Amino acid sequence: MLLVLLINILIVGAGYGLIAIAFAVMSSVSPFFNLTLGSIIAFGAYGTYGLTEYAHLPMAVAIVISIAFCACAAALLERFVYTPLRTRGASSMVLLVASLGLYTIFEASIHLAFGPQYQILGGALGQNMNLGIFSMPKVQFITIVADFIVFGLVNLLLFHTFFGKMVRALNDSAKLANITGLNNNKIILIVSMLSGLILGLSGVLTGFDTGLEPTMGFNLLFKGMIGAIIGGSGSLYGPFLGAFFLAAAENVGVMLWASEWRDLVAFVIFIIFLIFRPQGIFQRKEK
Amino acid sequence: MLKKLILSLCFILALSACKEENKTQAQAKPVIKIGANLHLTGQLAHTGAGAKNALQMAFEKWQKKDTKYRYELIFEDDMMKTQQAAVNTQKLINIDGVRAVLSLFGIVDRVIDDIANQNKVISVSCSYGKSEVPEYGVNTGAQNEEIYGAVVRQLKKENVKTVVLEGSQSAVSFAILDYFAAHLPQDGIKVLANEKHNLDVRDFRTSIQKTEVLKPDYYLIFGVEPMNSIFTKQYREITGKNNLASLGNFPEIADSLWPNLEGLWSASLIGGTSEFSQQYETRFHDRVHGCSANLYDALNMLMMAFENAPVKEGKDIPENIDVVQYMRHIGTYNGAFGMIEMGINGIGHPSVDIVKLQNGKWVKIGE
Repeated sequence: MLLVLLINILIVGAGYGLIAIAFAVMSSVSPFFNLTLGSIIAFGAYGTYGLTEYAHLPMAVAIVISIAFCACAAALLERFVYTPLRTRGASSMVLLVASLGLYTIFEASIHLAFGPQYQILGGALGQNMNLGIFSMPKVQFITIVADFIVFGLVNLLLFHTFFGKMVRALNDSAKLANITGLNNNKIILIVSMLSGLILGLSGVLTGFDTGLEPTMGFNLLFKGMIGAIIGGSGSLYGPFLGAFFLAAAENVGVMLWASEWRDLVAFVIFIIFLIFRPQGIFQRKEK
Repeated sequence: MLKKLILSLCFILALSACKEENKTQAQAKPVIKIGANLHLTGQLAHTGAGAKNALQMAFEKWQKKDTKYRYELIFEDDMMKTQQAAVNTQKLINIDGVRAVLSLFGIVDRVIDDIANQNKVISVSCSYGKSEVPEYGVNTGAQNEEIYGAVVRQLKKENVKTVVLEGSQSAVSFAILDYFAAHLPQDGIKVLANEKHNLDVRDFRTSIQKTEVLKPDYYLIFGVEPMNSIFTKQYREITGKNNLASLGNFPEIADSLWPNLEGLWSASLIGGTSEFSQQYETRFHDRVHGCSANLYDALNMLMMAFENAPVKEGKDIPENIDVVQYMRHIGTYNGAFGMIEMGINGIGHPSVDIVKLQNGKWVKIGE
């Protein structure tokens, strides 16, 4: 039973983890609650669905195109919406409201284009695979592997490359980074693309695992954000492990009490962290 | 040539005059406005969209008939939120001047009932397990007793002794699941657990594994979609078994899951008659959703009542209370959902059958 619980935590946590990493990376250079990140998740899932169902493309091609589209969509939103707003000195609240408006437009557009009906991405990824002592659908195994790979690659990029140094410099102080000659907007644009790629991947995997619905992006983004805040968004270990912490809290809640306690447990922990440790579990020390 | 031209012109003018006259006649008819407050966006938008399609089908059918009154149908989106439903209903009654409001299930229909009743406007809902309505109300959704009766007969046939109940945190799920939890033991079926999941939950694995330890013969689920689809998928992935049944909405489950679910059964709260389903599917290229057939019948009964209810002297349309009374005294109505027995208390009792997935199609199975 404990093994089963651990596997469930791993599956759910990995799903949240991808979003938490993307959210943390994006908010490190553009610190506001960007709701359009939720739309990007839905773009990944519905893009794959549309390309296979209507354009009859092979699944692998559809996935690649959808994820690439998500990266482009994130970059375009940054270039034509958030950068101009930021340049005009818009506050985080203005950016949040703008993202809320865009999120609503995107959700309604998906609704109109694909209908409100719940769908599941079919194919080989949905089939079960035997891992000796237990079996799980391939997509869940891929989600766990993808979470670890994305964590490793993004960690490498942020902490072992010159670009990562620029991102961290921007995170520390946007003004100072600008004075030293960094092109802040260009850095944010590249980070947007990176987060779009991760969110697109997350959307595709979610589409295979728990299906597609126009409202899917917001709920997932919200859980990813909670994971990132619990873990602490100063380092990449924070959101990565915070997502597993959130998944553990939810699943242990369900196991010990009734299912309706699931969200309550998650939000109680979230509030406790906000009050007593707002910097999260793994936040690095301030110099 | 000139003569021909003048003759043609005269003919065209005469034709258009006739058309104008018809139009004037139609416009001269008293107008009856009917509002429909549906979940057109939000988590249950598919149900609202299905109901809207069905209402349009019924309305168009009536428009082709020579009716006593000119009808207008106005749609509003309540997003399945009570506050929005209240605002919409006030708007429909006070600004649009509707004589009746149609609505779907959830707590919204109760709010609409109250506001409509206070304004002496007819409220017709499709709400499952709703056992009473106010003076101006009518309900066409299936009742707990009927769903329970059909499901228990099937459970007994399959010699089921223990069940786990699984549903969503919604008023409809609560009403039905708790009814089952209270009554199943009286029929010799033990309820091992009664789990309710929040509406946004998409991961039921831990809950399934927790209840699997109890070794139930069957799972009975009544969730708000996509809960049924995801729960069924994850249950299949974890256990490889198909011993679960839905208390109402399995036919609405995602198409891509159907190939794996042969033999699965459900109470038939969705589809309606095969004739209606075919008509609907051909026209909208979509399957029928919850309450579509019920609201199709509800609008038909409502318009039939407006056409046939007595008109008091000095009035040009019937009083709302007389229309409600007419609906309540329809008796047995054979419509898109099948047979509905209208009670004089305003509660409709549609017949509930069991449908099974056989060769990729949901078919009714005999008692």
